[in-house]
Amino acid sequence: MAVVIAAMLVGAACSTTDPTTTAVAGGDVDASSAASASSSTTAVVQEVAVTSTTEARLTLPTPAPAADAASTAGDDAELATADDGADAEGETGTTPSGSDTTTTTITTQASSTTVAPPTSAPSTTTTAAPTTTTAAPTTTAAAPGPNQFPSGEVLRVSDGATLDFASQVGGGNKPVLVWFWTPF
Amino acid sequence: MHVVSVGTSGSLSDAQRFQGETGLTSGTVVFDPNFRIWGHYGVSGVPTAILFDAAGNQIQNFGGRFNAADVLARI
Repeated sequence: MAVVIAAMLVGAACSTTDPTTTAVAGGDVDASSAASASSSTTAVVQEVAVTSTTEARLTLPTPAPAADAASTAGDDAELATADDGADAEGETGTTPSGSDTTTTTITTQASSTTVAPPTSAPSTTTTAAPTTTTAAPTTTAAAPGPNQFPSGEVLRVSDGATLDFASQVGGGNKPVLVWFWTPF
Repeated sequence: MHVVSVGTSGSLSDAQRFQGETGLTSGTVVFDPNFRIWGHYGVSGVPTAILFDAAGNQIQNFGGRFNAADVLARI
């Protein structure tokens, strides 16, 4: 555009001045062309500069990846932080609830376990004697022995000897007290 | 009066502990592991004591806790 305007001005000058001037003008034109060339060169340089700038800018993305990496790292950090946060939140949200659940379960089990033995133990102990003693009536009754005492093998505790019960309590001239007991 | 203590089963130490707790210093302590004697008298719980005369006739059945005075009063 500048070259065309200069040529028009030169053309106008040529119509009013000599060819030398024209030549000069041509030289001027050439000079302007050179100038324009130089400006073109400058433009190129600028373009180069721009290009280099662009390249530099393009290069920036390289750091940019680094920045991205950094940001990624940041993201990672953020993610990590977020994860940590999430974990923390999760832990905070989960752990207490988990703890609560576990605690509740343990407490329930503990209370069940704690309650069970006292409830069962006395019941078992209390039931044991009646059960043991209740079984007795179902046993076949011993046959009557001498003096109406039943015959039946018993173990003498002092020496482990097997004796007949009737022989141990009958045949005397004194009253007899038969005392039933259990070691429970 | 002759006292015969009839236990179900256990050990000598159990019998000795029973004698110590009841104050029995004499008599015979036996185990009736087959419950034949228990079944004969229909004993279903302890303590239970049955008082007999010398002929084996039942005088008194003491079911539950009892003391020596109650027994001696029946002789």
